[in-house]
Amino acid sequence: MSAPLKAQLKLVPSEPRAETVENDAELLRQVAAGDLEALGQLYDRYFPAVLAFCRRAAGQDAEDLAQETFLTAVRAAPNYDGRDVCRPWLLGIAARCVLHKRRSFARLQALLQRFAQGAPAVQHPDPDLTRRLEQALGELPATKRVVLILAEAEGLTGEEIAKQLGIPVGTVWTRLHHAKRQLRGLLGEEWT
Amino acid sequence: MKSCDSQWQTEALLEGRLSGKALRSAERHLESCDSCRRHHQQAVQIRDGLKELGGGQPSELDLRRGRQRLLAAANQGRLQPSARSSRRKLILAAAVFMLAGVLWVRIGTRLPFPHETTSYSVEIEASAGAEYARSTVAERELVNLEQGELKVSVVHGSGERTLLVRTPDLEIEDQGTVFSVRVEQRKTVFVRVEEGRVALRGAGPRPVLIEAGDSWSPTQAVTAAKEHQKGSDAVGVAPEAHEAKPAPADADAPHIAPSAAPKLHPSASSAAATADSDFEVAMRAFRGGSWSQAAQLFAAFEAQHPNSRRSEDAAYLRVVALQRSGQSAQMQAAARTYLARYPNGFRAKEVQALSASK
Repeated sequence: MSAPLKAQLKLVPSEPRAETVENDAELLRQVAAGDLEALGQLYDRYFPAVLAFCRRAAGQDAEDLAQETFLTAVRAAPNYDGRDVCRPWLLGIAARCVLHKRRSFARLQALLQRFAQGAPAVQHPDPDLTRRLEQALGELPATKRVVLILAEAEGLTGEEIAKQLGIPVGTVWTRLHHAKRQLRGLLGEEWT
Repeated sequence: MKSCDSQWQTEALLEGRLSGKALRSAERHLESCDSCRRHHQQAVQIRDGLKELGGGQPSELDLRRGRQRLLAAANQGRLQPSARSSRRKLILAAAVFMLAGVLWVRIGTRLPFPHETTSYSVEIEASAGAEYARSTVAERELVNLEQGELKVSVVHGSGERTLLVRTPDLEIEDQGTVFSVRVEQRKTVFVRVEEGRVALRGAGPRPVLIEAGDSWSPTQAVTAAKEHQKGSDAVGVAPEAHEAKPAPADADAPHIAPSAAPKLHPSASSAAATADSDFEVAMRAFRGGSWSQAAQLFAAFEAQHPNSRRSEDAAYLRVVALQRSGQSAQMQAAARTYLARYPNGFRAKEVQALSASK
């Protein structure tokens, strides 16, 4: 097969290639051009972070949501804004995927519990707090839960969250404030 | 414990929204206010707790499996039209179908429908002294021409009938056509196509396609009809010669518009350049999502440049373009052609998968 066509339609590589593209904007430009190897690098770089976010924000189907995030990223890559680090952008896509799912509290709670049982043992100073946080998170509305996790667990700024979710920054702060207050209320009286 | 009115400062401090004097003021307040200090400690606990949730690293095996799954899905996404686009097409088709049904019911009660709009027919104009015989075998109409000239006009209906003209030395298969053929002394003198296309067999190792406006004669492979007519008057001016076009193996190859069919130049290097240029034209249509046009251009490319290094690419991309344009039957035929020509080709597995997907 001729070289130009190979550049457009690449076979699925089984191993990551040796040379890596450091700059995310360049990586996404290659992804937008149909380079599956670049997509593989993007996956290697950010899949654990995206998966962790999906587990926190959705619990069930976190793997599928993380996959969906990357496939959406492939389609959205031509419109990437060119920043050197694309983690907030990917997390924004993941958040939209999670919001799109909108699963019920009971389902989420059950799955968070299952995840807590099946997940690798993470030594947390207060296992009881972890369990209660999981339960409380499951009771938060998805819109608030996603903002809370993006801000608190992922460390995105209000402006970044606003941009990625397509909402005003004031709305981010409002949702964050209400999410925290509701979460504390769900954790118990001593937290309010 | 009673909550402090300045608790908002604690939140703002944690969220990084404070700076300068406000930041220093909040920090001083935190040192002196038990309520806010407790609130702050709890907020930090919550933040740490949230970070711990879902933080278990996936195993190396899971990562590799997920990577393969993602790349395969992304690759598949390139081959398959998106589900949303398919749904849109389905909804559009259903709407058109319903509209057609409504119109049929409303108009059908008032206007009589014609029994048949078009039907298969063959008209033959024979020159004086022409010797020929017509017969029908299964769905194929056969015309055996022994001597003289015939002008054949074929109107295709909805059926699958085809026409084959046999001369003592050639076979001419109609593909939606008005054409003339002349035989003298048991040799075919010319085949001239006015509309559509014919496939000529027996003139060389491979079938030759003759498009509308082109003609064939034993001494001059395929010649533009207009130039042919001019050439008889203007002695010494060579008519513009086109390279004979070997036909694709599948009989239902799409019609190739003469304007879309690229032309070859005589020298090998310029022929390669033309092939590259033709391939790029087809690729542009492909990239632009003009699937039917791309399929036609790739078919034309295969016919024009059967020995090009890009021929396999063209064959594969034609399958993809036909699949995306929804021309299932043609796609199947093109896939068969690809697999017959390139059984161990780079894209053989994908073509097999496409062929099986229907």
